[in-house]
Amino acid sequence: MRPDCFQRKLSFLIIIIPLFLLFYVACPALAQDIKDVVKDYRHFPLISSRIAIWVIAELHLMFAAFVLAVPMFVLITEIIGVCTGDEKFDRLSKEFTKLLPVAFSITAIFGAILIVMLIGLYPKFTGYLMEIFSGTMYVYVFLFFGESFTLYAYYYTWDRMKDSRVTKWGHVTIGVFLNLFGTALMFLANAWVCFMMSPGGIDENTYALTSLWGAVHNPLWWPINVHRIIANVAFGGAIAAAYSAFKFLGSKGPDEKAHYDWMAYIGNFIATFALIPLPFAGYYLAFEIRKYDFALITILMGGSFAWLFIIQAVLIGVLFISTNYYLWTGMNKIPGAERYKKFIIFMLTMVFIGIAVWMTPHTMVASIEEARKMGAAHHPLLDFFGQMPAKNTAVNLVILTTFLSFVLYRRANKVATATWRHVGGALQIFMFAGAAITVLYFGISSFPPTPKDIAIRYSIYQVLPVIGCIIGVMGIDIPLFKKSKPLGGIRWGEMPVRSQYILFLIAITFTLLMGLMGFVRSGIRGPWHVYGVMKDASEAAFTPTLGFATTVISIVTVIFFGFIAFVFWLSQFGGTRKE
Amino acid sequence: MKNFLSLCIFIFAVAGGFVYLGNSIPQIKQGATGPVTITLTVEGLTEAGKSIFERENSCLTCHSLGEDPKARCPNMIGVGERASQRKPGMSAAEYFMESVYSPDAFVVEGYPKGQMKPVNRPPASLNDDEIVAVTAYLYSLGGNFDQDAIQKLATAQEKYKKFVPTIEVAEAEFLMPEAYPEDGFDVFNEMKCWQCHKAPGFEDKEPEKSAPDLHGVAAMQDAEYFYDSIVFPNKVIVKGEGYVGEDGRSIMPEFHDSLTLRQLYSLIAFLQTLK
Repeated sequence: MRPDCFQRKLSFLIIIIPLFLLFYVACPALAQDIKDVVKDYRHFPLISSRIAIWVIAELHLMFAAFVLAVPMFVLITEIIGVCTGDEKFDRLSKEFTKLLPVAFSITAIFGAILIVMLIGLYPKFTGYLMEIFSGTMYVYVFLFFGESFTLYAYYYTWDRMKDSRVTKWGHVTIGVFLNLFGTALMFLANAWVCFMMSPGGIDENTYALTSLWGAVHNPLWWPINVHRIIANVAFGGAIAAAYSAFKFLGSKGPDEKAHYDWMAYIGNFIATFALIPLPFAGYYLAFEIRKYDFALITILMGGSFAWLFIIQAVLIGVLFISTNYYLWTGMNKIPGAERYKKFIIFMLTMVFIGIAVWMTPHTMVASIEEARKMGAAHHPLLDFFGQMPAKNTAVNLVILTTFLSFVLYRRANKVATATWRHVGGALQIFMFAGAAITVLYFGISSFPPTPKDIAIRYSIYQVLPVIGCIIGVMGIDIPLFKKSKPLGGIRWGEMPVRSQYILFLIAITFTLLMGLMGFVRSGIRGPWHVYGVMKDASEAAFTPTLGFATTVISIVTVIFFGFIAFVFWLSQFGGTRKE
Repeated sequence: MKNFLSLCIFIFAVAGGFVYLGNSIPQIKQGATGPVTITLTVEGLTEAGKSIFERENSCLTCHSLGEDPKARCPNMIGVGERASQRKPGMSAAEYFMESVYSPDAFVVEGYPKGQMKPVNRPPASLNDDEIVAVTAYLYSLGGNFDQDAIQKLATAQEKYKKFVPTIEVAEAEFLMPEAYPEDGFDVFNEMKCWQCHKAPGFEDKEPEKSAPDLHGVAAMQDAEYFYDSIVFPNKVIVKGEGYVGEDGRSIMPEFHDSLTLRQLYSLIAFLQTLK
């Protein structure tokens, strides 16, 4: 079968899926019949209903993140291309857009499978969600159509609208609408998911809907929206960088290598740019969970899920170390970067120490023999570094260090010529030092006997100077190096093979992290379909071990990358013969 | 092709490393907590209370049993002795009940408000008996917990229990229809109440679902209670395994529009004979 024929068939499915949704929501009698006559749960053969839903939902979510994220940075790079007139950006944007049609179709297929399986395997629970959110389903269908039409229009009109500046801006406008539809679609789906954690807009006793807006705008809706937007951008950037690495490895000549090296840099740049504020967004989410129900946050951070955060720390450690490593390796191709290489060892040490502190378990209790030798139940160092004040301090310093790596990479082949360069440089050093000292000061001050509520307030005082430093330093850096003296051109394409595997490592780690955090977000509800409203009475009303969860997440990740390889392979047939 | 295979091996290696890491840490399976067997003795209550207190993601996640400066909530050792001195005019039993049903009513100095949810709400979702057991255990931590204390706890708990509604008496004169227990027996049979309830005269029937045994029920309950139970079964739900569905509501259907008044009152008259 020819790939374009395959794409047409996928497009047909995209039309069918919303129609199916529309039919379902527009047929309350059918919904009523289902609710009345079927069982509460049905069993999925071999792997159980829970695992089946888990796998499909996870795959759907990963592809959804991809098809939401890629248009975001494609739009940004297209606008840069239009504004600067640099054809390179336009080619890059189009090349990433080629990945979208097939990825979008796969997302829709997994979405349809998920709906069918939810109705089939969890009819009562799905029926309840439909009762609450039936009003939003029409909006969802509308947004789905909107996203489909704008996505295909965006892709297929690329060359046709390229000729004049007016039509090119028209094309950018289609991209803006594509992003608006996609983001609104995600917000709506987030409302359903968050309702399961923090239900709102329902009667306290009968659990019937009292306010649809209250159900949508439930306490965790915005924190999840913010977190997912940033995470999606980071994830999309990482996958795009992995795509570029894949193409780089298969490149025949130096030009091709240079092109894909540059593309990988842009993808990784976007991923890093989103990765830096991501822990803050995660913190905001945790803060709001705490505000909604303190018990949930204690289950999350202090109960048996505490060990999951050690795994999370390892994964985030891999992300930060890999990102920094890629930047440092990239400095080898930049003339003038040797000026900054002497700092790498210090930054590396800082990142390693920070990650080591972050992954120190708080609850690692010693054996009786060890305790006798140490004279306490906890190792004095582990006990100290395992506490939240130490971890908060570590993560903020790692973020600052990664930002410093990025700043040095950015200016590696430039010499500032502005008259105020010394003042600007001094201000930047002052901001970095000030942020680091503030983070350390409030970190040390947060340890017991400081009361918990004050320690939590101090953690915000640690985050704010780091954000301020990032904004302030970049605010100075951009004008400072605007008319700088170049020390030579960047030798694009001169990257070792191992650096390309690092890009793959970043993409895989992002995917594993998404799966892991999805597991804990869902897991803290405990044996509830909808927290405090509808109890899980199925045979799977338990939270599996972390070992089991990581196995499922790994399998899903491998399947996802199998599909991604298919998307990469198919996308090469999407261009014209000349391309 | 070589690159593709290398990348496949790389992906499998990273995913495999992740699985290894996940399996290297302590493996904890968090099950849905089953009902705790509670006997109304000093030992039975404290033992049941201890098991609830110490189970996963329960009280011990935040409270400590011994001095721990890192604990999120107060140390419980000696709380049985301290409880009666916490709030002037409040007994230990009253303080314990207030602390678990309305935790923010009094917060120990040095701890922020809003850390604890009422234990009859999620995620703890303890029932009234389990709450008595937990408070009994706390009472025993340094306090003089005896049979008398059990009664004090039960009394202190009364005001926090769910409101039990009674039927409002209409001002207008209302003549009760004549009701005969024999007719009620027939209604009981016709409506197939025996499919769930055991009752005198229906010993040969084997209930298919779980519902309260009605032998001797009239010795404990009055006509108003029977009326409520038949017409609005969710007003008061007797605790017992299988008595409620997954939605937390009684499995008994509401009979507010399927019985005539005569049938309803005959049925109540029959139930009143089950002493």
